Amino acid sequence: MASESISVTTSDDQTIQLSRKHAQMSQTINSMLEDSVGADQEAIPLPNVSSEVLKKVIDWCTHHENDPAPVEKVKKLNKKREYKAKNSTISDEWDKNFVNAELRVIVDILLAANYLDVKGLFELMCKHIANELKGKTPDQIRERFGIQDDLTEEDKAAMRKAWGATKNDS
Amino acid sequence: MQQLPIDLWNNIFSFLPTLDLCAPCFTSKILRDAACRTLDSHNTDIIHWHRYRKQLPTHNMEVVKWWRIAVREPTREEVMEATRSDQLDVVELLGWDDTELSLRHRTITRTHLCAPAWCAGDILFMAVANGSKKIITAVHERKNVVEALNEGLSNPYCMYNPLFGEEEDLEMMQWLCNEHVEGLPSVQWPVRLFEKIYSVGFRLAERGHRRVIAKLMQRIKMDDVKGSNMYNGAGQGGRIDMLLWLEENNVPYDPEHIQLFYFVSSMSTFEWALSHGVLPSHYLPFNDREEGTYEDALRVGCIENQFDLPTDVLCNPEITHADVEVVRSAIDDGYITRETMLQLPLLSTRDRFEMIQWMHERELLHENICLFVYRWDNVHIMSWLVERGYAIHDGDWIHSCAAIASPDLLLWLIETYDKGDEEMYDMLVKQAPWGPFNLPSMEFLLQRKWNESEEEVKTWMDDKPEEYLDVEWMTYLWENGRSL
Repeated sequence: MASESISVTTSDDQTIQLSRKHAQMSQTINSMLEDSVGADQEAIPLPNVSSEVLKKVIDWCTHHENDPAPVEKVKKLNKKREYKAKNSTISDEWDKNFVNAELRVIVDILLAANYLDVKGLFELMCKHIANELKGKTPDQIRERFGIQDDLTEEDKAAMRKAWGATKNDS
Repeated sequence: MQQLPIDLWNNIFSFLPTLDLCAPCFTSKILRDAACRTLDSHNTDIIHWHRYRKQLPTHNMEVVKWWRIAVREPTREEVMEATRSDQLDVVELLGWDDTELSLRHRTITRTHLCAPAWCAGDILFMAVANGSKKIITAVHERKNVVEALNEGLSNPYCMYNPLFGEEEDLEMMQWLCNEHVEGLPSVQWPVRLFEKIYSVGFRLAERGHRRVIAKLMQRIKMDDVKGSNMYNGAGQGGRIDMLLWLEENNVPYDPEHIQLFYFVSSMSTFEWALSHGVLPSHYLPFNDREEGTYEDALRVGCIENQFDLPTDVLCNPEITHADVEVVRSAIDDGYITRETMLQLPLLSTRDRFEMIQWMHERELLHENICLFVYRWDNVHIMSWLVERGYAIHDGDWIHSCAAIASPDLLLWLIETYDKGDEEMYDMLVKQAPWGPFNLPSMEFLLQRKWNESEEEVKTWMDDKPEEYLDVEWMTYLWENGRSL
């Protein structure tokens, strides 16, 4: 019978126990478990995830452990077959509190969610960062995300032409 | 903080509407590339996003101040969006009308040279539709709202302005009926206010705003024409409940003023129209197959009621957002043949090339299809059609095409049909004595003639000390450049 908990080793050499249910919310760990059936149950190495971030991931998994499995949504066009962005509203109050963290932590959780392939968490972090971007100027985005301005004047002129186009779509 | 790879930015950007992808494009190479990749994925068509005007963000003053300096001057869309979202400070920054715009931008953004791209009246209409007391009051402080309304009504854009929004707002109707409403100026509106805004009843019925309609009916004298307009609106909205309510309230109508094509959005409304003596008129639109209305309309209208569709019903059908499946069923039913001249201008950019290719493969494209397709301003589709033998006839056709062509399509016309630049420029000047010039293409021809840069030629457009560019000025630039 499979053990009820799984050991993982984080990038900072911490060994952390997580329940099988939570582990299976990560497609990455789930695949590793399936590949190692019958083998000695050694701690699964997670070299891209720190213990601090993994604890956050576990917190999220604990809150959402009874959620229905996420359905892969196909990008749909509206009635006029125009592109419509995905809804970035975060409706769950617990999730709203969860993303109320330093941006550094949010980015780390996003990267961890991507590596661990935890779809719901990944989507939540993407929504939060998208909402962070809304209504900000390029300077404000660079400052908020610690990004260097590596665009040349020619690059900016090309974008000015694209975004400054005045012809209406016929 | 760790930097995110481009694929993750793409996932993040999938949660942003187009206008919010503007600032990332000016932030860094990785954000620009991710944003452009996201924008490219919005359209599978070969027309690219960067050719067309996009609404810029109006979230706050900072972002508006940024794009006014870094990207372009405002257009009507941004002003209306700021009004819709009740941002008075942004409206004031963008301007109450287009008089502060550069001459070039003003000319290019106007639909009619003599009519402003937007005015206080437009802003008032939008503010009323959104119940924005703050902006209505600000309009009134600048210009009496009655005067602003009259100004708005003389602007062609207002014809399309709904005046009432999606949400029912009885308070606004009370105000427009000269009742006192807290937070709004006391106004005596003209007696014939609602007769000037002819689409009000239609829109209200379409949205099912019964209390507002009841108030409106106290204000205006209802007759067959106005009543029929409301029934048409209810039909368009697919609201059988609204149709029954209008009947219960003795709103008069005349079947001759009711158009069957408004009623095809649901079976119940369609059947109501048929049972009230409404006959098929000009055409039945091809709607989305998901609604099933095209087939339902044909089945009920033509089979069960044994209507003979007039022979011209589908010889000139307007396909708006039909998909291939809907057109396929019309072909199977014999309503679309090679003699059918499809009206496709409203077909979305995503669908255009697919539809053209699909119909060409089945030999169903009319030989004169280019006469309609040129309006898409798509050099790839035009050259694809011409290569396959669909004609563009010399003379008026080429002139009509050039009148709306972007520089790339104009160049293709010049090279394919052996036209001279001067002939094309002269035609572009003469084509637009009142409407807006095709300025980008005229500037392109001026660049070629005077061997000047795009930026330099653009500056020539702002040199004229008048309200808008005219034939005389554009002719002068062709003959003399900007040497004097």
